[in-house]
Amino acid sequence: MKKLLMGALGLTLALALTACSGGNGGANGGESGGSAGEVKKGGTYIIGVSGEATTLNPDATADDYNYAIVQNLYSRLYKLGNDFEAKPDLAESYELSEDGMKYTFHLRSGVVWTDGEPCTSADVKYTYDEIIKQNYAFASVFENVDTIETPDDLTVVFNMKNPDPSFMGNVSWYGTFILPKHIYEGTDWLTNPANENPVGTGPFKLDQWNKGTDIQIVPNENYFGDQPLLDRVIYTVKPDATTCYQSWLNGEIDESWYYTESEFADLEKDTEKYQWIEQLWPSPWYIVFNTEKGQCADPAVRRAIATGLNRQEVSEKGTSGIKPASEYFIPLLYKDAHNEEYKLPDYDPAKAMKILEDAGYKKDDKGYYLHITFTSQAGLPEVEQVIKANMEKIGIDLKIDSLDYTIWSEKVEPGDYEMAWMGGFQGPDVVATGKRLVTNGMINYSRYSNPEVDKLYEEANREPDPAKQNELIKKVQEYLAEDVPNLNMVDYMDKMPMYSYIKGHPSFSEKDGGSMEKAGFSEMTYVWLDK
Amino acid sequence: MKQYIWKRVLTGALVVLFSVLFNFVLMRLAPGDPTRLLAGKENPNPATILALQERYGLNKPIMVQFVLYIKQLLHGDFGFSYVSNRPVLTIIGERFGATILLAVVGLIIEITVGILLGVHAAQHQGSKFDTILNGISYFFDSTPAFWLGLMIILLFSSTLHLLPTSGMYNVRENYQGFRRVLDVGYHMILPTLTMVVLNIPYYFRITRSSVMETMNEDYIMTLRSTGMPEKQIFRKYVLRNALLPIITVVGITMAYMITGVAFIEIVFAWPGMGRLMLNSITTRDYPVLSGIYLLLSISVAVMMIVVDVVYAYADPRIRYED
Repeated sequence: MKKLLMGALGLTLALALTACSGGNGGANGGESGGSAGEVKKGGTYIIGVSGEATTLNPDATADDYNYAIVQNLYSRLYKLGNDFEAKPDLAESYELSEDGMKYTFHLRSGVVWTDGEPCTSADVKYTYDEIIKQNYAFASVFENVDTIETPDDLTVVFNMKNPDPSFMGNVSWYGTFILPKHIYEGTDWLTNPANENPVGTGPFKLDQWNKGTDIQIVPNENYFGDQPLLDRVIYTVKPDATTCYQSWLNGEIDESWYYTESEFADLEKDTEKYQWIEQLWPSPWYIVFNTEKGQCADPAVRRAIATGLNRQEVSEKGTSGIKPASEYFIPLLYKDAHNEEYKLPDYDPAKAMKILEDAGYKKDDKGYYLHITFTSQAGLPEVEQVIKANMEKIGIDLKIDSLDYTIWSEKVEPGDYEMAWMGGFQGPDVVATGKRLVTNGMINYSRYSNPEVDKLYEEANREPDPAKQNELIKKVQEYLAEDVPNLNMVDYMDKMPMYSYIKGHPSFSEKDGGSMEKAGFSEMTYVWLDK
Repeated sequence: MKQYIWKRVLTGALVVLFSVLFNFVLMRLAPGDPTRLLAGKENPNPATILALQERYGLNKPIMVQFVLYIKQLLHGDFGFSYVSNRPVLTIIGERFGATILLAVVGLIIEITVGILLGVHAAQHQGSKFDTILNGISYFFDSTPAFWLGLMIILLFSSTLHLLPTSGMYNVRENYQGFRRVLDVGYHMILPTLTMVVLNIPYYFRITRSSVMETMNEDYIMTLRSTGMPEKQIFRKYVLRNALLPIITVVGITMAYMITGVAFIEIVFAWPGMGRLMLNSITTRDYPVLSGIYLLLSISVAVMMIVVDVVYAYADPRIRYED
């Protein structure tokens, strides 16, 4: 029913980001992405979003509702697009020293803020220093940064404590938009009035913010890059999924954050009117086991559950078959790092029960080997029912606890659970999967600790050659197959329709008439209306 | 009468104070920590969470937080939203007008139509009109606002293409001046219709039963036996007495109109306070929620006082009892 229910579920920021970006999935291009004809300038583009941005400060807090907007108002050093490639933004180029300990960014010259002040390396240093010092939302990904130097106005040097292959991905991700030092210095980032009236260097600038209703942006004539083709982009708030979808169907809005999956088959018949975005994200939905205490602390139980869960059924009944059943211990998207020998176990209830029997578990008078509580997240009734039925078949009585995100996180983060449901962006590169697996890793909610796995990730983190990195991650999967701390269920596939008159959208590659190769995730610079 | 009013005001003040305390404690005891959402779901950096808890004083004991909050309130300061860091009063102020507009227009229509239908049905008790209306009223009384709103959108917007699905105005055209007023009116039709259809049954049934009850009172029987024309009895004696309980009902619904329209605001993307309240619950934005609850409890208290006073004027028995 609700295509993008994960935003409401709050499974993770990444999932929400997919929602935020609305139509900005896209790696697989569209069926009728459209041959770009004569580019038409002008027009208003309206996006129906599920919630209102609370601030237009892009770095201070995590705000699922402002990501799509701030990408158009500010610039980063580099920016990630829907092809997951980092593209030059404020920086024209960068160099990495041979030992991987020094990143030197060369900024574009002549960049000015929307208030006319010049944007220099001082702004970059100020922004990063503050993010790290004040522990703003994305500070943690920069713990490898030692010092930042600015030898001149157009050069920024990051000296690292350790080599960090994820660094460029993190720089180009969110929460790293460069803020104007002359506006923010000496003020509280959370309350600065510029949060409502931003001064940026992005392709657009704020025109109106009608609280509770809409945010409107118009081209920034000071922008250093190509001028936007649209006259105006409006983000209008439609909190209800069905209303938003109806509003889109009726043509009141051009793009929606919500679609009704069950109606896709009907829409697909009209190949003239719609083009389709399909994109795989490195954000599987998975089951996380508490490896430290409770019944799932026994690896045999985890292996039995993994063998007794029908991922294909979860995909079909829980996601209308759109999100594919997972096959590997790491996201489907990182195919070069897949270990074909150590994949997720095939569905086999008889084998699952045998694992339990072999481990010494006996059925009680009710016919169950185990009674386990499953800490789930509200909004996934179909998924929960499939999992419960699967477990019933192998003699595990599953009690389902469906919780709001905040309550869920209060239970799962400190390890007060047995088996839980979660999601999350595991990128921007394959090494970042380690955050969920290494001892004391930031998102290691399974509290898994295996010195061998730690060592492999440590090596991978220091390894500049992607091919060698992949080999190390393949090795990791051997241990994961034995220990099963996390169990991927479905990989995150976004599929959504878009009106064919929309051209130059960042969700489509340039060969399909889009702008994926040059624009950020939700950057509207190259979007134009062929109508 | 003066004493009567003072008593009511005092009770009202106590109601407000207790509801502020109750809401404050309840909110903080409920599971869910706002700083976890602010720190981001992707990289919930413990240091960020601690820094935010320190900033908002959430690491202090609840009663200390409460005393600080009351002190703040006494200075007329409602605090700042955790989520947007803007003043609570400003945030509520931005949303207040939209809710009042929708609620007041809806209220006027539903009270008028509800009472008229109720009186008519009571007068023609047992008639076809009465039976049908009764059935319809039970149907809509048990209909969820969400469902009805969506059905109305599907019918009037998606099928008939007569009216816009949602929003307060046409963002594409962004009309100004008088055209803006017309545009808002145009966008109000569907949410108002939903609200009115859902609430008319309430007024209808209360009026109907109240009128019927009064018609069976002994004094009406006595009047009838004097040979007074039925129309005169109805207008002069039945209506006046029957409408008394409706005053209470109207007063109470007016006080609850913010919560009453919350779901309608969500379905129709109406930028009102009800939606703000539900959002703030999801994000655990305590200061905004406290602000809204304070406003709600004040409006409930004020409406109770107003109702009591109006009641006392309308019915001298109440004044004298006091």
